[in-house]
Amino acid sequence: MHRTPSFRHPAAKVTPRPRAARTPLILAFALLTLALPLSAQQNPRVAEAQRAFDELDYGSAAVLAEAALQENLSTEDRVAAYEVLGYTYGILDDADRAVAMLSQMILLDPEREPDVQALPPRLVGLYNQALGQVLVVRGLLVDSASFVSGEGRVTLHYEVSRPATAELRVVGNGVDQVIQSALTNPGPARFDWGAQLEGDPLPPGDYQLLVTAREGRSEYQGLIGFGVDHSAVDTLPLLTRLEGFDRLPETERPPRDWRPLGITTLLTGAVGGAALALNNSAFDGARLELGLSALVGLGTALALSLRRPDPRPVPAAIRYNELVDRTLQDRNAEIAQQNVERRRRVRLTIQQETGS
Amino acid sequence: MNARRMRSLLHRQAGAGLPLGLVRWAAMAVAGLGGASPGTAQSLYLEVQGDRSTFNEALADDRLTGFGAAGSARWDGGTWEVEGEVAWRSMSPAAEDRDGSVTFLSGGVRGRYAVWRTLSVELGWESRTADPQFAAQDLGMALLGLHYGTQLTSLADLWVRGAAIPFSSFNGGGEASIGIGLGMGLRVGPPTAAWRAVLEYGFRRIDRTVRDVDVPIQVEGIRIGVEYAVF
Repeated sequence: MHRTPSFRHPAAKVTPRPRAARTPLILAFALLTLALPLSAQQNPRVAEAQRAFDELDYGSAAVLAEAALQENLSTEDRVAAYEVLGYTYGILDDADRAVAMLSQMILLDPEREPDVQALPPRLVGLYNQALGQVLVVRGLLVDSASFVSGEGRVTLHYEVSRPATAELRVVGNGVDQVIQSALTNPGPARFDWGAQLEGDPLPPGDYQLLVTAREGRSEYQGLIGFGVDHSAVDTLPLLTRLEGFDRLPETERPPRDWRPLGITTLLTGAVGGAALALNNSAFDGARLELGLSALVGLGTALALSLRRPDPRPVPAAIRYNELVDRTLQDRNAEIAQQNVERRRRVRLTIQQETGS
Repeated sequence: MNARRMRSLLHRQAGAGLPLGLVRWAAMAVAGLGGASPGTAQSLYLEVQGDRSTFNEALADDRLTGFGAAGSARWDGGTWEVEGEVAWRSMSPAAEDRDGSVTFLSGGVRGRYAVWRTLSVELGWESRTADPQFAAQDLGMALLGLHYGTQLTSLADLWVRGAAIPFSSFNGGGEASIGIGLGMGLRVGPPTAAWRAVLEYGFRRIDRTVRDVDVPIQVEGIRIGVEYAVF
């Protein structure tokens, strides 16, 4: 994350106050375990001041840090020197100077915060007091998000140290657009942004989010980079079936039917019996025609009864299938219409730049 | 629509494309002259059959058996149904010690009127001539009875008939009381095909007397053939 503190209008107005005559013993005892975080400073005076502070030699620490600040220091060294001075003055009970030094530190590095576990609450309170006296923007963060343009939002996080008007601006890739401007109270704030410019999705590319806090003539600006990618929106597949509504077989094979054999036996028996009963006694003898007819008739009927019946249509299933088909057809028409819309849209993938 | 009507329609469709247009149109013209009501499904069937018959007259020893061929046409007009047939049979004595074969030519016509579902009242006339003359009786008989048909499955129909023979005539003279005629038949074939196999059985008993002497006549036959639906 890049920070570009503005020094045009330093918010902190620090008035020096006479140093305290004595250091409270109890505070000195508590600071036996205090060690300021080591930074990558190269300046030897700053390093000596840091070492003197760690060894509880606060007089030397203050002198060395003051002397270091007269030199041409890097930003990191300057932050470390102000930090040593701020906490040293705090320990030496010179609150005004402590707040002034810590204010300078916050202006240079708004993200630098006291270790509340290691520092006494009094020094943390001095840090908070200093934070309330300067106007800075910190805690910038762009959440990673992927959504269809127009249907989702990306959340932007930021924080101002004092009540101020915060203006959010997106810059880069030919775009310079203010996306939000609102009075913001101290503390974490967030803004959900649709990543659209006048209704169109933000073009793919690298951008910077600039958050400018204004309070009277004071102004502070923080920025963070993020990238935008475009991709096609997934289309919905057409349905081949309705879940839970499978098609039913439109025909069913009825059970074996012995009716043909039964009726044939009955009628053949009736005719054959009558033919036998009505036979003239003068003509007894073989009844070849009757026997052959009965045999062929009964054999045919038996074969018809043993034969697997032909499948027959099931009207209820046919109507049900027609309903399912029509519903499926309507649903697919809706999906096709949705896909036409989806092909016009674009999926935005927003990701904060690594190392920002 | 009952099963017989359905089958008629199916057969009419199946036979519509076959090269029997002249027969079909002639039959339809006849059917139209016959007064079939407009809109009533009509069907015409032609049958060709092989015949095996037994003819008994007077004594069992005089029994004649033989084979022949028959052809028939049947017009189904729904409530009304009319059929006519001709047959030729060559018969020989069943007894081995008898000589002389007889050739019969016969014909008949029957009309049916459906009185309840597939139960019809049937009225018919059958006649037969023998060659050589007097080798057997020439017969003429009127039949009045009932005909009942039923569909066994989509593949087969079965019908039975029973009739009284209130009137009969013989070229050798004599008279007869009321005779009996029985019959049954089976038609089997695919429901959409024009052709179907046909089995028919017929039985006739006429108790003829000549000068108070019993000279009974009994005819029994089986026919197996095919039926073609013209329309």
